[in-house]
Formats: sequence, C-alpha cells, structure tokens
Amino acid sequence: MLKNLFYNKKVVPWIFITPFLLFFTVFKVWPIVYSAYLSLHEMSGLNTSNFVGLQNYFEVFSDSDFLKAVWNNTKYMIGTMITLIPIPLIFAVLLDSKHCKGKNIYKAILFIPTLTSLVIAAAVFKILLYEGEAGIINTIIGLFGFSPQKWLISPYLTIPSVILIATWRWTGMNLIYFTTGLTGISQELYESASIDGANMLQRFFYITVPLLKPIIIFVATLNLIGGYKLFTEVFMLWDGGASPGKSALTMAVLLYRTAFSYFELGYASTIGFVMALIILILSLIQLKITGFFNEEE
Amino acid sequence: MSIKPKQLDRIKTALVIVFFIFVSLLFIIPFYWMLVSSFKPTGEIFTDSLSLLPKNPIISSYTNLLGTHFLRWYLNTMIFAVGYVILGLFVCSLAGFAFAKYKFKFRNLIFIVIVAAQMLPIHMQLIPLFIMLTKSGIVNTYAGLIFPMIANPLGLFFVRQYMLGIPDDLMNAARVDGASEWQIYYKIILPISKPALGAMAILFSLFAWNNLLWPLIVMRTEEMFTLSVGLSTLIGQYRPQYGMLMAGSTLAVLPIVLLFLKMQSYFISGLTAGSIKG
Repeated sequence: MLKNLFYNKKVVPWIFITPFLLFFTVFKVWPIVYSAYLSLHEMSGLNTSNFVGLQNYFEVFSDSDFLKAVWNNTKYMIGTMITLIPIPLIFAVLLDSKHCKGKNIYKAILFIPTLTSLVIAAAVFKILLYEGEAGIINTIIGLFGFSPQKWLISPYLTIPSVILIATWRWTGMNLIYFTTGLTGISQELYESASIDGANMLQRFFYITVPLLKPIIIFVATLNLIGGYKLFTEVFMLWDGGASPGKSALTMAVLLYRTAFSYFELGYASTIGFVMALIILILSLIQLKITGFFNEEE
Repeated sequence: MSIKPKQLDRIKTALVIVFFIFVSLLFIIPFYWMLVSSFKPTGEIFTDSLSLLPKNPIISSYTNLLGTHFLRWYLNTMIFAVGYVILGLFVCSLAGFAFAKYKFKFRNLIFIVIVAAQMLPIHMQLIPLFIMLTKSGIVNTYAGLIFPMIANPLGLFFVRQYMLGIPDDLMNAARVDGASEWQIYYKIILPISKPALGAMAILFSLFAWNNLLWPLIVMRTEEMFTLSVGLSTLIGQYRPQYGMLMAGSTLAVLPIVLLFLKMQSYFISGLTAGSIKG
C-alpha cells in the first residue's frame, strides 16, 4: 500500500527530497548547462542561432564595454568596502558601550533602510541627489560649505552616488552582524585591559578588531560579491542603466541590455557565464578564508 | 580643575546619544522626503528643498496611481510573496528535514552540490530561464515567476541547520506511538521549527517584494508587473512621474516597515541567515 511507504525510513527521505530536487534540477542546474550551451552560439531573438564556438568568449574579453563594466563593479566594490565596514563597526562599538541609552531604537532605525526595495531607495535618492542647489544632499553639504555637486550627471560622481545609497542601505545590516559578534566578546577582557591602562582606541584595535576578525572577513566577502552583482540602482538612476559616459555601467546591466534590448541572447549568456565565474572565484576565496581557515588564535 | 570620572561618563553618554540622534535623523531623511514628496506637485519636488512640509499639498499623486496598474502590481507582488513562501517553505522544509534527520545514500554529495549552487549568482541562469519559460508558455505568469525560485538552497540550508538541533527522541517517541514519518514531519517537526520557518518566510517575502531583476525578466505585460517593476516604469524616458513614484514607493514600503516593527527578530534572523558559521 502506498501509505506504508511513509512508514519506511529508508524510502521516506527520498520522497521528501524529491520536490526540492525536482525544482532544483529543472530550474537551477539545467539552466547552468543550457547557459554554457547558449554562450557558444550567436543568437538574435529566440529563434535564430548559429554555433560559433568560443567566439563570444574572445569577444567578451576584448569588449570595451564589458571591461569598463568590470572596472566599474570593482570601483564600486572598493568604495563600499571602505564605507560599509568601518562605519557599521564603529557604530556597533558605540552602540554597545554603556554610554548608549536606547540602543535598540537606533539599531531599528538604522536597519529599516535594509528592508526597502532598491527600486525605492534609488527612486528617493534620485530626488535627493538632484544636482541643483535645491537638491537635499546639496543643501546638506552646503551647510558644511561645499558647493552643489552634479551627482548623477558627472561621470566622476556616478559611482560615488551609488556608493552613498549603498551605505545608507546596508549600514544597518552590517551593524547587526557586528553587534551580534560583539556579544561574543566578554566584558572581562575590556575590564582587565582598562586596569592595565589601555585607553578606548587601544581597546578597540587590540581587543575588538582581532576578536571580530571572522565576522569582519565574512561581511567583507559578502560586500565583495555584492559589488559585482550591482544592477537595480544603476538601472533606476539612469533609466535602464544609461549612465553618463558609461561610468556606472555594470556587468549585470550590460547583460540585461544585451539580452533584452539587443536580443543577442548568445552573447548575453557569455557575459552571464563570465560574470558568474568571477563571482564564483570570489566565493571560493570566501570559503577558503572562513571555512578552511584553521583557528590559530 | 580636572573632571571627575562620573562627569566624564555623563559627557560621553550625552555625546554618544547626540551622535546617534543625528545619525538616525540622517537615515530617516530619505523616508521623510519620500513621504513629503508624495504630496508635492512634481515641480515643487525639485525646487523646494528647505521647507519641511509641502507648500501646496496635493493628493493627486496618489489618485493618479489608481489610473495606472498600481493596484494590480500590489496584488501581483502579494501573490508572488504568498506563493513563494508557501511553496518554498514546503519544499525546503521537507527536504531540510530529510537531510537533517535521515541517513540515505549520496546524502552528503547531493547536499554539497546544492550548497555549491548557492554560490553561483542568478545572473548565469537568467537567460536560459527566460528561454525555458517562454518556450513552455509560462513566461509572464505567476507560475513562471514562482516555480524557479522555490528550490532555494539557502532555505534548505537554514532549515536543515535548525532541525539538526531537534532531539531525535521526539521522533522516536512518535514512532513508538505509531506515527508515520509524514505525520512526524507535519505534526511535530514543523510546529517546532517555527523560528526557522518564520525567518525564511521573511526572507522569501522580502525577495518577492523588493527584487527587480527577476520579475523584470519574467513579466512581460504591464498588468503582470510586480511593485518593483511597475515603480521602475514610472521613471520612464518621456515624462518621469516623480510624484506618483514617491506615492507608490510610500505605499510599497509601508507594509514592510509595519511588519518589521512587529516581527523584528524574524527579520534579523532571516536576513543574517547563513552568517556566523551557519
């Protein structure tokens, strides 16, 4: 009887994993194979396709747009690394200190941007970053004596603008990671250091940072990988990703445009493939550092 | 005259609090501006920055939204979220349970393959999925939107991790009482796993609510757009509708913020899933 199968401990696990494996194979594994296949073809639209071997790959690595995109992704990644690790870290330490009353409120407020859609974040910042004097960001920096900047217009300020949005959006998230990590550091360490005469900065650099190293590395790698997936903000801020001078063109935007504006599905698959390779290598670096890294401490 | 330690402490506390109030205000500005701009005529949005409230408040941004497919976008997004959560949780928890509590051949190998798949970004699969969905006729449908997402490796991983902590005795006791394995899953394990399921539900919901790239590719006609896609069309090339965009954004953000305030721990748990050594 079919029902008895559900009493059979040897058979049941296979029944249980089947739905997952089914959807996984069809929608996650097969597309990877198919993508490799497509990348070896030249296609225009869904129905025309010619086999061209590795030609797309040769083209991709000499494509100035693609290379510019990789460079843009890298610039963005470095920028977010600079803002999204020190700032949340310092906030976490300050929030955690006995000097901070009401820390859960601040944590919640700083975290809420993380919940918003990137579409909405970009939409709002499109207004905030208006280049005239009346733009809010320009008004704020005006208070400190800076002249209005052409945020979304100057090719030099496009990536910084996106970095600003990212900082607003993810500080709260990294803050949570770091505060969770801080709970693992015992107060006694700080107390005995104080008794030995260590001041705040010394306690920070010699106790906090080293003990938080695994989490810092983890957050850094998330940042690293995220930097190469940048899409939505660029798409929203510059109407489909047409940033001035292609200064904010990213791999993902290029992929989307190649596939859905130019219909070159084969070449776009190649872009997707190479992009995934870059990210995979970075992920493996993460695994190596956090997973295989044996504690010497 | 040197400052006594107690006074120094108080000064430090005051400084820290002032600092965080300042930072909090900075972080709130975008939300505040979004809300305020939704009540301003488009011209005022860009010219009038110093006043805290709109000079000539209007509600036409909101009413004009009704003239677009906005309500439909809202509905589509909710269907996406609900469908993704229900199917995704079912598929992932069932499999997570199997991986956590049963021994079977190739178990570890299959698990490694699944975890490895998580490392690849979805961008690699976008075009093949698009072609597959189009050729099988489910592009631009809810099915096409939801099905490719439900076998979520992170969901599986997180649930399995949680279930590893459930004592086997519970299952054995149930078996002695004559329960089938399915009953064990459904009546015992699932209810206990609520924290993990809740966190994953939040994660999936946020994806459905916020993600742009996936629905952008799957949904081809305006009535089928999700909120993200729909809102992105409001800044079209021809006449960007900033007022409506802000109104739509406010309405889109509201449920998430309210839900967050009610269920903070699930949000944080779900979003930081897979962090500190799983």
